[in-house]
Amino acid sequence: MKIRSSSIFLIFVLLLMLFTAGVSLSFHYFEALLAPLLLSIAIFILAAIELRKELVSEDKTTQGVANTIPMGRVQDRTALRRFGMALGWMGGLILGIYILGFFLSILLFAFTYVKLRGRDWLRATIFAVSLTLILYLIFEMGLRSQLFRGLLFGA
Amino acid sequence: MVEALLQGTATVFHPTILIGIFIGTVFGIVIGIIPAIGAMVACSLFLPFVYRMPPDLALSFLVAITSVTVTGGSITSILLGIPGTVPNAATIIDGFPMAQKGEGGRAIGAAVASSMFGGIISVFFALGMIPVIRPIVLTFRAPEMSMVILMGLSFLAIIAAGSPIKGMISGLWGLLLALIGFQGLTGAYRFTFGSMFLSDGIDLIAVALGLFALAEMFDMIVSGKTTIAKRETKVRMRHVLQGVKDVYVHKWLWLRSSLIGYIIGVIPGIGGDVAMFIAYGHAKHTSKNSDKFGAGCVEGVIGPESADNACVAGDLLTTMVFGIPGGPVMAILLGGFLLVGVIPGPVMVKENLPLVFTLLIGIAVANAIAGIICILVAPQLIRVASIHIDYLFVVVPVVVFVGAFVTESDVLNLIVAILFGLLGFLMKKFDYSRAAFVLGFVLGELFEFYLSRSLKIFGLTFFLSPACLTMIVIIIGVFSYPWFKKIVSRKFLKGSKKV
Repeated sequence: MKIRSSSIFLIFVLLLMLFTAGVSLSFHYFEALLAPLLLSIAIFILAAIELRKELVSEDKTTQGVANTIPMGRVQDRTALRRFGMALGWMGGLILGIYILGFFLSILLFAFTYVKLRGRDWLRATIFAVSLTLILYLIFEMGLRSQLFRGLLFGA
Repeated sequence: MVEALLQGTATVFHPTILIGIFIGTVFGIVIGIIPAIGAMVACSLFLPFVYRMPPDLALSFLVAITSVTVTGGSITSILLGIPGTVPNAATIIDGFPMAQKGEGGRAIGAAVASSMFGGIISVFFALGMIPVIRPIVLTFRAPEMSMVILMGLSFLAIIAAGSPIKGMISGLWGLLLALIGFQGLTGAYRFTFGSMFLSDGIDLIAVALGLFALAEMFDMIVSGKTTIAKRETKVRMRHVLQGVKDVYVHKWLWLRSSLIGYIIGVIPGIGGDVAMFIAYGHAKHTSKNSDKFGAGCVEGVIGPESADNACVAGDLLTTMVFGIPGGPVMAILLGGFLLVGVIPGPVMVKENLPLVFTLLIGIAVANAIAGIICILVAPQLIRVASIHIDYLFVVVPVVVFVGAFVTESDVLNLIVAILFGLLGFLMKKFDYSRAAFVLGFVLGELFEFYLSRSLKIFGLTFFLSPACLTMIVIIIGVFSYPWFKKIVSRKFLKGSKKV
């Protein structure tokens, strides 16, 4: 029997709820443990019902494309690759923010991404500079929030 | 009450608020035109911009955005045949064929005028309802409030998700997540695992931004969308004005559809998409030209567009008066209310009534501004829809990360945003309700407060008041409806086979 990715998601939810229920029991006060314990149990029961429903329907039919992240086919590999790329860019941006601060990393991220996607130098530069400038004007000047300067520039 | 109304009206016409509404309206239209971004993403993206503003300005701005995205979306639906926002799907059925016949201007005129007037008239319906609802809401105590929260959650869970169980899992998950951090009542730290960062709980803005904005980005990248196809469309002003005139010709259809939209808006959990299709069905059913529907009939545009904008005032009224969202978008807006220190529900009706009037009248003003802008520059606005995803992929994550950082000035919120982006993406793929999740998260703390207060004052039988019992019956009814429908349809099918 092939298990759908949505079923794997539900199994993860079930395990997570077992964990939260266990942690809830460690709280010393009744008022503190009541709500999380009840909620964990309720979610666990609902997730178990949903999982059973999915497994039964999986046996009956091979349909269910909309509910799955299909794996193993060419188009799915492309989707996974795209997903990995997107995650990589975002992870890179976060790392950049942590090291270089918001403004420099936004400038670099915007320029690099747009340039690597085939835009010309001028367009990529104008886009990156204007985006950084707009954010600076709104957040630093307008809302008076100081954005993170990064580890390199004395956070 | 009259004094609050006058005060609320005066606030709307204060220059700062008017500018806020104007800017919100422009953003709302532009975001509505871009097919990838709906009102939910828009509302979450703008939360970081408003958290330091005064409540009346911040909320007027957010309400303006949410109330006109569908007006912008109608232009994309008509000219490109792609729904600008989800509720605009009904407009395509007749709007796009009209554009193909060379009547795009007329369809836009009709859509924009019916949206504008629908949005405005619904505000009067809402204002008329306040004196009736207010005394009822003011009798609500802690037990009733905890039931109201559960009722809102169950409505949203049932309607917004693929299955009632998945919807409820989403809502309860949100409730559970809201319990992370320091509990004032007992002094206990729950699920913090010794982390100082988690002791204050998880930041709403980081959650909303990740769950909606980042998740949409992941989805767009994975599905390989690049841009909306450009189409050459000629829209002439005289055709637009003819569409406006059509709304006058079909004024009774416009009025009935607006009323339908408003009533559906008032019902918790149901949004504009349901209102539009019901109004479309009504327009088709009552029209003399019902055979022309689907091939480019102007009544098929007027009906749904009037209903959709009218829905917002009903949605907002329910959100403000009961503290439960009228529709999925309102779940995010509810977070906006709490972010600026306004608690919707009986407290707001009792202590902040002028703000209720300000926001409702703000909807009318935003709709009027949107109508004028769209009629004047509709043909130029459509160019916005051809924005390439490469630019969106840069702008959206950047705004998300800046937004996630500014409220608490903590870089760890960036990690929270990306984790919830992944969770939101999976929830979307597997058909879980992100709106119910956010609602549970927003109301989690309040729910626990009301529940523990009810238990302390009334004991385990706190739910035995008539109002609570009525709400329990409604919740059971809502949950059993899908099964009831299935059983009835099965029996009906069996019966028809025998015949």
